[in-house]
Amino acid sequence: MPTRLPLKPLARLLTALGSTLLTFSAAHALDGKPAVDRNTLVVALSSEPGNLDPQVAASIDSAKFAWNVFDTLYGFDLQGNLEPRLATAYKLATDGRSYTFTLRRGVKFHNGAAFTAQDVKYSLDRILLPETKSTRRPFFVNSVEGIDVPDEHTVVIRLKKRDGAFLNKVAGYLYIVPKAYTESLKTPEEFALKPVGTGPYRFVSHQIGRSLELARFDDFWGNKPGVVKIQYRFIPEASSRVNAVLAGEVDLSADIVPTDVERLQGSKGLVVESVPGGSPVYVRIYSNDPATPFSKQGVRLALNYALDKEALIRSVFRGQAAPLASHIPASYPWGSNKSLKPFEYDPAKARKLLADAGYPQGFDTSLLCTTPTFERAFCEALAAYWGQVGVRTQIRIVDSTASNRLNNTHQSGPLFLSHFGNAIYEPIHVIGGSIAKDGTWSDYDNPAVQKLIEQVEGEGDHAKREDLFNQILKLARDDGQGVLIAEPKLNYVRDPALQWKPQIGGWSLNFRSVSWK
Amino acid sequence: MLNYLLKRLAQSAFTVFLVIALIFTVVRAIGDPTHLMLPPEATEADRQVLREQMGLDKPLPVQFAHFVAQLARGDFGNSYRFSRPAFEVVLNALWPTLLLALAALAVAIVIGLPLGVASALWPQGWVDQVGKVFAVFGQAAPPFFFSLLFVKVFSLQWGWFPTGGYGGARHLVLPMMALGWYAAAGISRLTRSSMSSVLQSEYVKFARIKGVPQHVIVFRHALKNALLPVITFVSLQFGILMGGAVSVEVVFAWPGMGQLILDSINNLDYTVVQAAVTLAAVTFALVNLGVDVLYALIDPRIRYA
Repeated sequence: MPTRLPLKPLARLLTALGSTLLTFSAAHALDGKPAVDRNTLVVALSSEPGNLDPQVAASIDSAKFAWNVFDTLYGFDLQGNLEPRLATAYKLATDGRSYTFTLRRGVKFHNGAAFTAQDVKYSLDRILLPETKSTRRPFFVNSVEGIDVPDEHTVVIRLKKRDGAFLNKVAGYLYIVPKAYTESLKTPEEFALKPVGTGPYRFVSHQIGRSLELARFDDFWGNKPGVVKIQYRFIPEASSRVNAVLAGEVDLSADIVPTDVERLQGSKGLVVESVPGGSPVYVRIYSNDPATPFSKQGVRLALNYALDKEALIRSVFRGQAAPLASHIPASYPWGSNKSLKPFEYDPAKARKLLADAGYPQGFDTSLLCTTPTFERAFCEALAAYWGQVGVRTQIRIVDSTASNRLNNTHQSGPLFLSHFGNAIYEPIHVIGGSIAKDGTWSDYDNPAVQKLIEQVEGEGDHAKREDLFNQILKLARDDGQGVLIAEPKLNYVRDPALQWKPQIGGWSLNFRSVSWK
Repeated sequence: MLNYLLKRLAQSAFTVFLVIALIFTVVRAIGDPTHLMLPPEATEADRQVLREQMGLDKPLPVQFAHFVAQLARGDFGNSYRFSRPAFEVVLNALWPTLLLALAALAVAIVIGLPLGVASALWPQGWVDQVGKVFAVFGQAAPPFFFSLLFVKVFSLQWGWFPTGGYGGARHLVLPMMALGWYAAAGISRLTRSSMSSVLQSEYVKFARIKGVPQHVIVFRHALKNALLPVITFVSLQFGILMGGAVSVEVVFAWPGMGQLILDSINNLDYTVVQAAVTLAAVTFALVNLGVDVLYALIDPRIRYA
């Protein structure tokens, strides 16, 4: 700094500011004090569940809200296992094509109306009706034949063909809405402004971009949660969410990024919860074109052996990820082949595989990367590892909207860095989309795998399905179907006095048993 | 004059129409929202069903004609992300942005003007030195830097203000200071140079010789003349602040237009993008029209040209 007198106090002030910037203040952190009071929970989200109609909205944002306001016939527990909600039991017909649900009695909607079988039928019919513009429609329209209501407490859903994943689809997507109320609305859009369900919380208010408020529903059929009011706040910027936590303005924040986890773990008065995210990060390989090197198994395996996954996880994910051994991460409640090991880092083997496949000098290719889903540095690291074994990879960057379209229409090849989630804890959801011959995200055709997939789709028995999934995952892994990289964690920060556990392998927030200590 | 007015009005309407047509086409060129809305399990047939419901299956000119007809009734269509009229969604975000820009401008004037005047009165004095540093900081560092700095110091360290969100006056203080600093820097430097040149002018010297007291010279004679370029600058700053608010909005989770347009583009919520851009186009067209008419009133050469 110059030595002119007037600048000295300023320099001192700046030094003081600088030192405050480098230290975290614990003075206003959570520390067991609720942001508002012990009846209220304030939750920070990175993005807003804009559309509050659970049958219309897409799953990531909506599940953070809808899981608490609505019920499904069966639901998911924290690990992703099915548990009864509005149904108390189900029976699968011997031909595997019809499900008979026995419904819970004495359930009320938030508007006081009694829940009956008619509401279930209406809810499914509403999803199938094009005018509803339901994003859940594709899950049911191609499989459901019809729904019958033999009495007020029983529904029978008939399927066009066997669907081993049907119960999970019902749990993930068939949110129950009240027939009489919804029919009384002038347009389908109106439901989103005043949603009514049977869940433990009822909708109070939604101000776009500001807040969403819920209140405990006193006539809820199950055990009531310990918190009376829930306020969601929307804070898009990652460091601003952390600041809101440190200032004690929110009791819980979702979507904490790995770099912030590192910083927060040292802070007192708060608890960082990290759970497996259930969403594999892998490279989709377009292997169907025999003219490209990727049609050769050796090349695909070489791409796997060339990556030092441990190093990538340390640097890119700041340790907040687990190495991936198959398309179904080990955190799934079932159906991930636990005997599979991640490919080890072996560049010499990768070079040999390439040479044996007819590419001793390597070859040129390109990798499509999506921002802001992935940092450019991550893609560059992948290209650098592959470059070391001779696969000279050029990186192409696109934004997420464009990448979505390209990836859904088989135009993201030959290599695409992919990250997709799971909403229903059902392996076929992932395998059907990214390994099966006709999958939206698959350019892979392996007759042996395809035969097993066809078997599993018609199989209703849990143990047999799990065995089939294990075989499929092993075949796909050993064939180098994709480049398996990592399963990132989902991170949350909460007040130590708040009793709440995050959902494993899913983005949804479940406040059904939340309470203050 | 009437002829001129009608001509300018027609020109403005044409400009707005062009902007609307452009944004309409561009939003649709970015991507197909059904790819974002529907799961990967969706077949092309499933996507087509949704496209039909959203009116996206028709040829572009037909869609555009429909959109213009809707617009004539003041209807921008529904935002699929919020399931509400798109115009309502945009208006909901317009006020926070206006409020923030106006508050920042007020801060800029209240700080920048006196600082500039004082710097001009005592050049190389301590006020001038501090003002220089203040201005260099304000112009060199982007508003989001101040946003982060202020949050660390005033929210986390001292706990005086909330770290973000929209609510009462306490929520406004930090974002308005962070955004206002930038404009204050410009205003103070411009006021200083404008003021010091006026202070050296002949008529001020004459006033001094005449024995007019210093405060009368400064406030009645000099400042009035020195303010003219500053006023032009301030009116330009307002537009810049409206646009520059985006980064501050993001840091403070301020529910304004910038955040909304960003999210809407990412979600391909095209009705909202259309409504927001149309609103901006109409506003700018009206302001330009107003200025042109004002010029014409003052200068007859323009209206008869």
